[in-house]
Amino acid sequence: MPNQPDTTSPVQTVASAIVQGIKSGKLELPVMPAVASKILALTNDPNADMAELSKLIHSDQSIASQTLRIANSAGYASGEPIVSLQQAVTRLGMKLLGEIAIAVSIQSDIFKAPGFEKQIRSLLRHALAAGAYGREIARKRRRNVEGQFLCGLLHSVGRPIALQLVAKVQDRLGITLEDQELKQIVAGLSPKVATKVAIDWKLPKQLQITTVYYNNYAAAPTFKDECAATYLSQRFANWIVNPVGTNIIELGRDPVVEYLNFYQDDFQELLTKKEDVKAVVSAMEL
Amino acid sequence: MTPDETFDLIVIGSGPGGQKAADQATKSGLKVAIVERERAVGGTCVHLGTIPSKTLREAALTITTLKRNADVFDFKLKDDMEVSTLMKRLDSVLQSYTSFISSHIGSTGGKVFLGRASFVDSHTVLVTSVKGTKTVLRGENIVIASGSRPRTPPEIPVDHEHILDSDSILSMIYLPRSLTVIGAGVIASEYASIFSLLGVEVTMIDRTPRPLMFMEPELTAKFLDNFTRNGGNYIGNVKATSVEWNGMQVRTVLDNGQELLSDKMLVAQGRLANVEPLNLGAIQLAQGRNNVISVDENYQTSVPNIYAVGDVIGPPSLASVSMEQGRRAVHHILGKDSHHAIELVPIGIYSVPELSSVGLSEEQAREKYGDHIIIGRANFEEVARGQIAGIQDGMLKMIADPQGKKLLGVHIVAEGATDLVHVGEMAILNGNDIDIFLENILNFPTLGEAYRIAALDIAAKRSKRHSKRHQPRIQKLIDEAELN
Repeated sequence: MPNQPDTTSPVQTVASAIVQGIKSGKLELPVMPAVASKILALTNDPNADMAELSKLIHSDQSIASQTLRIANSAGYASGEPIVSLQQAVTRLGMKLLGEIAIAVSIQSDIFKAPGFEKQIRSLLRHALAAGAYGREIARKRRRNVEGQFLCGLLHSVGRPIALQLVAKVQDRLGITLEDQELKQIVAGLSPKVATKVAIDWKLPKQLQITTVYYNNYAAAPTFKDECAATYLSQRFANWIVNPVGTNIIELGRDPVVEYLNFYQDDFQELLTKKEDVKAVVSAMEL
Repeated sequence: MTPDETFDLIVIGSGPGGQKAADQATKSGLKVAIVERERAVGGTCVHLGTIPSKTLREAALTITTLKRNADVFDFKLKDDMEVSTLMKRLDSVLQSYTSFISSHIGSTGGKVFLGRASFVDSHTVLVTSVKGTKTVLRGENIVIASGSRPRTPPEIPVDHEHILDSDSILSMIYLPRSLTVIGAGVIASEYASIFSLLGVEVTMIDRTPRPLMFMEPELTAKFLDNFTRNGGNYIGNVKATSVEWNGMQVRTVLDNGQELLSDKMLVAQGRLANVEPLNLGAIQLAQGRNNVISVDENYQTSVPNIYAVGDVIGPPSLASVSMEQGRRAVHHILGKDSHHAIELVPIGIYSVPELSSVGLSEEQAREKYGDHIIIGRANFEEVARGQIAGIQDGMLKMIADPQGKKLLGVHIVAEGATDLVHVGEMAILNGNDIDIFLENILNFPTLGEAYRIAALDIAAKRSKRHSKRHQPRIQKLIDEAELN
């Protein structure tokens, strides 16, 4: 209708701009400046240790997912799918991995969104904690740990992308959202982003499923146990990043604990891993 | 403690031994409870052991056959082969098998309790569910069939990420380039040969000079030959002095100074009985070495109304034997006599190729019958079906008494050995002479023909021995020359 006042709220404006972006645009996981510079330093150092580069790749959502994406792309693919970071490290070697890492840090958006650093740091810390707790859950279940770490690390891959998109749209439209609104938008959009990323980036099947279904593991078409373990690992990660806001007794009663056949003592044993996980997160954080 | 429910028989564990015990009991009209600590019935055999590993083996063999025949049929296999692709059928196999077991247990009238069992007294079992709910069961008799788990040597840091055991190896998400296998028993040999077949560079290490020391050396020589032809490597008479993940690879240092690097490691150094949660102290149950439960020939423990079967009582740790033990334990409870003890146990090793044996080994036969026993052999390259099916590197070895009559043992290495051995088993059980294979007709072309060829070999040696009787001194020399 002509001459109708625009009643669209800032949230709606930002949300629709982001939805458009998701539909049409190439989704990029932002790289933290510290990671980018560390990569460049490592790959330029002739004495750099492969294990150091491996550690770096394991420590960052963006580098991890982009490494998997590029390693499986037509240019690099060796015919065998790369489904794990350790596999990428051993298969590709220092030179190739260095190339990929440089490509990632140069081509990706370096995360520059004033005011958002805290959120994104917290997201990455949560993802690392979920990865590290995923390891402990898999270990307790006597299942392979490697895949579960990656599932935990990348379960929230949609969130930093959504944040980056919000930052860009806000900047473009000159709108500033309230914290609560921002949280709502990111929470609402990140599953869609994650789904698109998982498919667009041709992430390994297990990751495609866990990234999309971890919150609804019972509905997962395959990898149900891995989805459930990912769900539990991110619940534990909440506890790591927000101990005050997490009711651990309630978590112990979550149906996922029963689903994964963790008895009360098993669950208690997992709780005791908190300090170990925190140590891993601290060691990995840049 | 007041029981919530009372049963004639409580079976702890729903693996092969527990299932068959429950089955036998319900068929006999007993009221049976089955306690299972996992999410579903079936035990390690179904969820982490026999069934998954054989599914992987089957997939590996299928892929190898397809690769071998790709040129003939002009097709190409997908390059992007993941372990999950190999195990694709596993979920459906497990699902159908588990649901079959569940419905079978349900249909026979057994009542399943999911939870951990622990003894309160010799007739009372406390079941604690995963949520912590407690149920008290009373049983006139109890069968413990709680199985076993992989043993983790204290000096090896099994992390289920780089250094795996036989449980975690099945959830690997890609095929490693290289794998070190510590151990040379059944599980080690099975996985080593399967992964070697899939193109993984496998190195087996063990203190023993050869893998599968309890099998006939001729058979293991064939196994080793096949393994090394597939790119595998066996290092015997060594011990790992240190194992570590160095950030990039698993580094193993051997006591001979050798250093091995590999993407992954499989630790397969035996299994431990699952006895910890059972609270056996409450009933003063006698245990043997490595905490296995001590039983007599009827599988009765030191507490008369409590029986134990399967891996929890120690070797041979074969699903087939556990089933029979479960059945026999219930027979004894019912006051029925099992006609004879289990003396003849076929051994089946699902490596590539399969190894299987029944009856006496050559060494045992020599000990019992002296050095004049007669041995017949059939190489599968002599068997038409072996040529047709591409199974030329197998062998069937038949052991007869010094008269060349009584069949004492059969040992086979070849694809299909675990099935083929049953012919020999039945012949031994029936007390048949070697001649049964000569005087009767077997299908042609079949691998079973190997029995006939080996029997002919024995018959030829037998007649040679009978037709030539020289001076004792010369006869001795000939006999010595004819020793197998």
